[in-house]
Amino acid sequence: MDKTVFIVDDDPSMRDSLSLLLGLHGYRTAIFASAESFLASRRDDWYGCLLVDLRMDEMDGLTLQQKLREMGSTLPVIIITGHGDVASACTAFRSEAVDFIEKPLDENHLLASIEEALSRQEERKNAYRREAQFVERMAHLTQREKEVMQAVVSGKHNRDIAAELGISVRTVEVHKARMMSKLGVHGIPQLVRISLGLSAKPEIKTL
Amino acid sequence: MEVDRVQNRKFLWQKGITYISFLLIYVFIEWVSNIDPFHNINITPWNPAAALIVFLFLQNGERAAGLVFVSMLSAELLIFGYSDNFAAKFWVCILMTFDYLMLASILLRFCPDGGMFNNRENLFAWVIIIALGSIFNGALVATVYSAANTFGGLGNWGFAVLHFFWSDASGIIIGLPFLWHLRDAKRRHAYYAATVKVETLGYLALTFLLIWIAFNESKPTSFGYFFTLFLPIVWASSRQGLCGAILCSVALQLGMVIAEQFGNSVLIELFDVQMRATVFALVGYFIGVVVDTQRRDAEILKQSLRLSAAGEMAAALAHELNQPLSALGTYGAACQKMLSQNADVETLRLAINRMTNEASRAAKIVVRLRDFFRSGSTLMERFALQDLIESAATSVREQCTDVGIALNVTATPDQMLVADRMQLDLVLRNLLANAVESVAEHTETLREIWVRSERVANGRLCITVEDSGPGIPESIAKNLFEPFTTTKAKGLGLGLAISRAIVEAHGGALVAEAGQHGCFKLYLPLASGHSAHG
Repeated sequence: MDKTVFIVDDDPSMRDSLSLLLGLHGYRTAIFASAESFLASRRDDWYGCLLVDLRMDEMDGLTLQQKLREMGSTLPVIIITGHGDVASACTAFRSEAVDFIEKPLDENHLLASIEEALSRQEERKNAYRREAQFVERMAHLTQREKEVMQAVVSGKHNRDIAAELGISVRTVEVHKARMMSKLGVHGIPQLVRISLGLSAKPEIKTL
Repeated sequence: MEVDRVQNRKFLWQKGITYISFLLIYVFIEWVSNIDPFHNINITPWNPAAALIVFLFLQNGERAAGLVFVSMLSAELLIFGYSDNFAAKFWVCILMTFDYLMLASILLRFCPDGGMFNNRENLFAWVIIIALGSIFNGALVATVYSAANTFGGLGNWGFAVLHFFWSDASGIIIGLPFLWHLRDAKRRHAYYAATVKVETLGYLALTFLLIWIAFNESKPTSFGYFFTLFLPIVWASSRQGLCGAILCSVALQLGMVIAEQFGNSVLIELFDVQMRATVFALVGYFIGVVVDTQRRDAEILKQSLRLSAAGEMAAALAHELNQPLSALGTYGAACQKMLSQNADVETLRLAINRMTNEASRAAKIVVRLRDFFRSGSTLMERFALQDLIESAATSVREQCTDVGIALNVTATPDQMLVADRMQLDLVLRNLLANAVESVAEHTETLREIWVRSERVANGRLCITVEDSGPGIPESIAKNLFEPFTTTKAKGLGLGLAISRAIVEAHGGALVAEAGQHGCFKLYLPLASGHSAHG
């Protein structure tokens, strides 16, 4: 699904006016009258950002945000509220809300937040894609190349690696060059950054 | 200049008339109260004229000294005639003038309300100042007459001081509050409002009946019934506060003096009568002041309850108001965007229509808030019971549908009510909102609310709001209607306190029925049997 702003608000006029305004600014919008109905129809491939009212009768905005995080959703969340208090703002930001906007909404502020939310998601998507690619390429490495990569990432010099693996420094250099070209990285720093990012995520195995 | 002089002359005339009337009234009162004078000098067991003098000094300060002196001297001369101890009388009048002036200034200083008491503390001060002032005055007068050899012996001096003290103190204590409460239009109005009632006739009649019994000499034990005279004074002061106490004290005083003089009683002296009258008055004042204080505090509490309810209401409405305002702003932004994109007129008009809808939605909320504040003053109007119930039910119907509660409004009788509609509407909405909340939070299976209305005994109407929720917990049932009692996490627990105050102001009652379910009954008095088609 394409970039969409999902609006969850129990006030019909708020939903309608937001959807109208954002539509005019060229966003696709989808509206939901409650957090429950959003959760009921939600799909994993939904892409864009979530604009949710803090205070709603049944499930409130913060609970929805929490539920989505537990489900592993990466949809960025913007909280809108009639009366913001520090406690709920803290809760929202701790759960990585993009913004916490008070009603009446300022158009420019709202649009800027939505842009930021979308670009965050875009970036996250790219990073994810890069990581996935990297993992796929890693599968093509030989055992020796993987060992060399592990050693390089942990910051060892070629000479130390050679001593450790019982091969010549020259051979280490050859393995290293082949490994870098297979993975498509253009330098040690990039290699380190990507592999560290992967090891922080338990679901993606580095070795 | 000419006009000034005319004005001035007119003013002088008015002043002159006031002076002469005071003098005449003073002499008249002295004459009336000239009962059992002591050694043919102006010490009588009953001296209401003292109250008049202190009152004059309280009002006008030392400027009144000349008038007071002239009045006192004139009374002496007119009532007792010129006698050989004129010099002593002259000096006594001068000394008494200064003493009364001093008494008035001390009263003004220690009793905040223009020399009058308005709470328990300064009632004590007031009584003590008057007692000490009267003793001092009595000592002065007795000393001067002793020096002039009008009466002989030290024993007589003490007797004269005691008599003077009781007569002056009782005169001021009983007379001054009465004069003070009638001194200007505002106080007179408040005084009449408190005492011009049918009930007043009741305690006055009781006063005179009991005086008649107490002074009836045909039964030798009658004076034993003196204590019954506490009844009317307690009645008056506990029901009408200080105003009632003052009126009843004056009635008791006059009644007792008249009974003593014109009844055929010889067993009691006027001096004893005065002692009793003073004690009755003081008992009345103390009860009256406590009753007044308690009423004032209750009024203040009611006022602050209304304010906090208004505060809660304002917070709730501010939140509600934010929705249409926010939507209005967003539609506005959308319209601007449409204009910059050259959108067609029809799309634009649709958006503008929605804007006007939002504006009127906001306006309705503002009207509700204004109505609430307006409800501070009761506005009685005539309306149909059905309308009241319908409008209250409408306020929660949508919410009920949303959370799946069945709202049953049954068999509302054809009935016109005369009441403050806004206030009763508030009460019903509050009861219904409580019911909805209780059912929504606690019940899963049977989700229902019933609203019934019926005529009950004593020409009353009973509106019952019942819900399938768990009812009121035992622990708070007792002080359910007290402010700040609540079972809810949100809210201050003022709703029911306010509701009951409103219903009681209408002469009705609001009761919580104990039971398995939440049930509130609202009783309202009916204006003598009018049906809607009547």
